[in-house]
Amino acid sequence: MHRFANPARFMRVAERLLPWFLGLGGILLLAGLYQGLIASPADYQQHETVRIMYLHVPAAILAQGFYFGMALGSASFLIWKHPLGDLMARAMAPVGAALCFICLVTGAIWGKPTWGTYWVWDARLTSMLILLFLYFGYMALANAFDDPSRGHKPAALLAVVGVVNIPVIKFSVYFFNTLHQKSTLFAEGGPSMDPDMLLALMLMLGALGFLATAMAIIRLRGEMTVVKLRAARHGLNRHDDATQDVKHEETTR
Amino acid sequence: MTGVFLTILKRDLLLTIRQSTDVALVMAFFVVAAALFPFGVGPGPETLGRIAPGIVWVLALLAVMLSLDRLFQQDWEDGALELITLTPAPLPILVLGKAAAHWIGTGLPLIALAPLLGIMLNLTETAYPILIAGLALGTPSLSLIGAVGAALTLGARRAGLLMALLVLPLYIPVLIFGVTAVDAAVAGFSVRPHFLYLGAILLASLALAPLAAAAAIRNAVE
Amino acid sequence: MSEGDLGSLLGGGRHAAFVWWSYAIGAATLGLLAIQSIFWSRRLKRQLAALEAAQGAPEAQETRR
Repeated sequence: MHRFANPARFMRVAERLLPWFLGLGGILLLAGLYQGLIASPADYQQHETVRIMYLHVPAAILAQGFYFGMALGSASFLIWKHPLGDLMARAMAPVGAALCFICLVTGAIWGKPTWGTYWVWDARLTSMLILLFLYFGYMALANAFDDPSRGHKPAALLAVVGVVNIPVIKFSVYFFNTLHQKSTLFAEGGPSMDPDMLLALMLMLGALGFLATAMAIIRLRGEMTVVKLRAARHGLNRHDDATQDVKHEETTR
Repeated sequence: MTGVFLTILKRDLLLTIRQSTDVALVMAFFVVAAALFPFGVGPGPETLGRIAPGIVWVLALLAVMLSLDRLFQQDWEDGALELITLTPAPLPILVLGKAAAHWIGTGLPLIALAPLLGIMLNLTETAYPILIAGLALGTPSLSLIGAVGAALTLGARRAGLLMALLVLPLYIPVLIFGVTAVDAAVAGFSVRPHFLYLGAILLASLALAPLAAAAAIRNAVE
Repeated sequence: MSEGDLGSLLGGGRHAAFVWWSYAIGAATLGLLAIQSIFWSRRLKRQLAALEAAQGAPEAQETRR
């Protein structure tokens, strides 16, 4: 059942998929940029700024999806104790945080012409901001221990705690928003979205999805090397004589 | 099981009393920080009155957060935590006892001081009972969620700062419902839904936070 | 639709600058992360190779210390 839980085997599959992901992501990105920036019409109310949506919305979807993936990996690490899930979560965190950041910045830039100000405590933007804080917390905790192997379990636990809290945070932020802002400032495309716009959105979602996954695979390669490196250093210590071991212990303390 | 809970509660309370300067410091922070706001936003009673519930709640959050290191840090350093985990009693119950002691040592004094802050910040009279009730319902959740953060950062570098980063985003729902309850009361709306949400958060954290904190403690003492 | 083509976007069809800034920042963020990821993973690989070489030769261990 845990055939793919073997990190080396998983990595072999991932390495084989990497060029495909990069290629597909690149092609979709070109198509999406063409469709989004050139072929699709401007909105009659928002004019050209509607084109920000093709970057903003996919980034938002993927940032949330990546956090969910991180939590799944962390949960599998906590339950079955195989390290792959934890390594995947660690590899995904910076990519998800970058997407979250892109979503926030494009949201703010979009806000200027649409709302007249860069930042509004709109429910969607606010919950993305909190998601970014959760990403930061995870990355900080994962790297906060002098003995790096000690950070795995706390970080995994935090990812799971975070994913349990996200619905609560989202709900409370929306609740807060309905009380403080009586009118929604703008309605997103909704079901009546122009098919050209929908196509651009889907292409960009696919492009960013493949590219972000490719980036996560590259980072996973790094995380695996970290583990091997640590094991190799440990082996080096064991070959040394006992006195040197003690000295090493003292200097690391 | 309640026996173990009461034992650990009594032990931690005794420790809190012996080190009562810790509690006094947190309370002093609460009051001094509140005294900064009139300087920051101007002494106009109307402005202060409007933002007073928010200030009290945010400062309560920060005060609880600053006192979280008391929960496990000392016991972890002197090895007591390791001994506690060796008892046959379920660890989540022990965590619950420690969180309860933390709330009595931090949450209750904060609630007692909240009216003073209300006077300092010109809080509307009708808002007092709701603010106090909201704090009474919300601060136990803060101690419980904080226990998870405190347990996760045991042994980490810069544990205090890290804890702030981990815990504050998770405190946001409590803050929102606590403040909107006061706003609703001042505006003449029903506070029931707000309190129900606060209660739901409390029940959920009562059930889940001890489990998460216990898992983190196990990892820390290994 | 005249607003839809690149000309109007480049020529500053209303608010076009906001669109360019968004995509530029998006590209810069992902690009920087990609570069960092690649170099980070390469550096680790090199370190591992060096360490394994050192482990192969016991006398090299002494000089490392």
